[in-house]
Amino acid sequence: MLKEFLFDVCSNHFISGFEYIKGDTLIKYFQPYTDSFEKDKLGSYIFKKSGINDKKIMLAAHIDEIGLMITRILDGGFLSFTTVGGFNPATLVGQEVTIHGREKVYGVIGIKPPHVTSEEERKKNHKIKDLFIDTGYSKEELEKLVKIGDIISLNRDPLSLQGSLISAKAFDDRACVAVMLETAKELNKISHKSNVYFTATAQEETGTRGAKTSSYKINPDIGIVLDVGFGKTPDMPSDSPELGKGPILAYGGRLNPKLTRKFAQVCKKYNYPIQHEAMPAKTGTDTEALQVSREGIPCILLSIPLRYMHTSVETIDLHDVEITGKAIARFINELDNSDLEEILCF
Amino acid sequence: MFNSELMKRLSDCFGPSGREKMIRELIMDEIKDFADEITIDPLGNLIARKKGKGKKILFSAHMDQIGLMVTHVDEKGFLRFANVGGLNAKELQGLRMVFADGHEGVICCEELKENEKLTTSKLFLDVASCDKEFIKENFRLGDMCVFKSDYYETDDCVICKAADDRVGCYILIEALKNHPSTDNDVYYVFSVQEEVGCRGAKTAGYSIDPDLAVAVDVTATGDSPDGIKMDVKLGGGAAIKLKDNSLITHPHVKDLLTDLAEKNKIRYQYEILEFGGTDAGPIHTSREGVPSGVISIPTRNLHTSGEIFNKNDVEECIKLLIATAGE
Repeated sequence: MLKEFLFDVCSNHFISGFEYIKGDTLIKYFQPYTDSFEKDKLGSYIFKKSGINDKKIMLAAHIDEIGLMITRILDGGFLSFTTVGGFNPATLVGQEVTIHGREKVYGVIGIKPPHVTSEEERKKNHKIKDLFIDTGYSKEELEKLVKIGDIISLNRDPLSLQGSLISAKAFDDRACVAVMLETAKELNKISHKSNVYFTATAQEETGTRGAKTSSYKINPDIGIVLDVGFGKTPDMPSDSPELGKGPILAYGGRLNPKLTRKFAQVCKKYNYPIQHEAMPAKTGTDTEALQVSREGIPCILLSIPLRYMHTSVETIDLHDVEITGKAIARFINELDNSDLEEILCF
Repeated sequence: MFNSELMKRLSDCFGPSGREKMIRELIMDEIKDFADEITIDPLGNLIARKKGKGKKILFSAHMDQIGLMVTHVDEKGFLRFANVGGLNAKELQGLRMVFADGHEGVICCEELKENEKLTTSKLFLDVASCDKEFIKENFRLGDMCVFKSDYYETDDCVICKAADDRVGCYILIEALKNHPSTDNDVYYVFSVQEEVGCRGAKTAGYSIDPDLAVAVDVTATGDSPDGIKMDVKLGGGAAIKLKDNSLITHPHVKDLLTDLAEKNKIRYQYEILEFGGTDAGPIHTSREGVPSGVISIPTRNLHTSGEIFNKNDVEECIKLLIATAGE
């Protein structure tokens, strides 16, 4: 079920700023486990699971993905583009793309042959402004179909690797939207008293904008922010978090220390594995917006270990998603049965 | 008909970020007979309202301009300074600057060692006096100054300082004077402190809590010889912004502005700016979010003493803003 959801939702595109387009997919999966649905005015999706007290817990995982946008239509039918969110240009070379214009237009991003690329040029990194998209159309034909500002998504079907590893574009951060779905499902089994808001936030990649507006709208007592973390590969530092060893719990100024400790205790109690990460200053996640929303929101941050972030082959372990979703449900249950004021007081 | 006299007064008026008193008074005087209600909020934003029972619309143009702030007056009477807003040290040398009270100075540079980088800390302001008492009396830490440069125009274009964003203020003023008959509740905001981080827009967006917001500000162009690669050009009409570093224009607002331009035969061009931001940035993330867009005036030489824009583009922007007010 989680895999089905992830493959489904990753086959759609939710480029930052254009998240409203494919909302039906989300609604289809979340509606059976939640009581009501609304949006903030920037396009964040908010699914509410009603409780019996007046406490509000907000889960936040961003639905948006990085993408491209047309900046110029060049002679010969080529397209220049800019990025929506952060790309390493090297990951774009050799990609197939879809331009969402008046109609869908397919294209490829290529570079000139190695035979005619000098040593000097090979040493240099590609720059976005030097890359272009080839659609096969002439400029005149293309101008009828696409315009400056049209968005472009990468074509990449989700893929099952061996074991429980899966690979796709946009597991950043849909792996965590799947975590929320698992939590919602799990909360059907475990009772909960608080009102739980599953928020698929918009525009995280361009500056945590949807988290800002949705947290203002919800005005929660507690925030549980979910994002992806840098998973270990041969070219990453040796102490990087590993896939399959559970969520990464963050420690730092953005996070509430007592709430964070509480989460670690709950995981220990129920035998859920977790990993740890120090984030002394920035977290680079929706926490940035949530923590300082209105009068301030005590937050914890959990990250799913993910390899090859911001490429079209982002890779995760499905087990991590499942474990994290279940652990959060337990955490909510434990919070409901604790004195929240006591936990939140410094 | 382009009102050169008003544009010149707006450009010449002193008002760096945080010191908007004079420009606020000028605009207040200009619009007072046209608004139903005028308020000044705690940060100094000037807000003119045309009342209505319909949806709330916020228009914003910033009053402040970039400038310099005196950080130190040395014993010989030379002034050190810091930027107020985005200025490039390389472009400052030799420029004439003017203070609120009319005193002037010229920006000079220390002799640089070989390969030494020119930074603001190497620059100083010479205020043309050997009289220590005069300097002590008239130049204090915290004082601000702005470019001194004369307004000039040809048949189609204008050269002036602070077109960023006094031309936006001009457009809001002209739109307010020609406000359409509508049910909408429209707020014309002349904001403060945009150049140092859109601070005025942040508070105005919060207090007004609009249903729709449109900022009016200048944008770069790709039509000069050393220009950046960009499709916007002078004389190409009103620019409808699609993206910059502070905003992805809400798709519905993009459609709204495009449809209004098409329907009213207003010349327009799409704009994607790969740097910078406007008042629409903080406004669109205000409270629960505000669908927002920007109408931009294509302008060359941004943040210099000789910004250049096209008068016809300005007319098209005014028409588009009026159409938006009435929508």
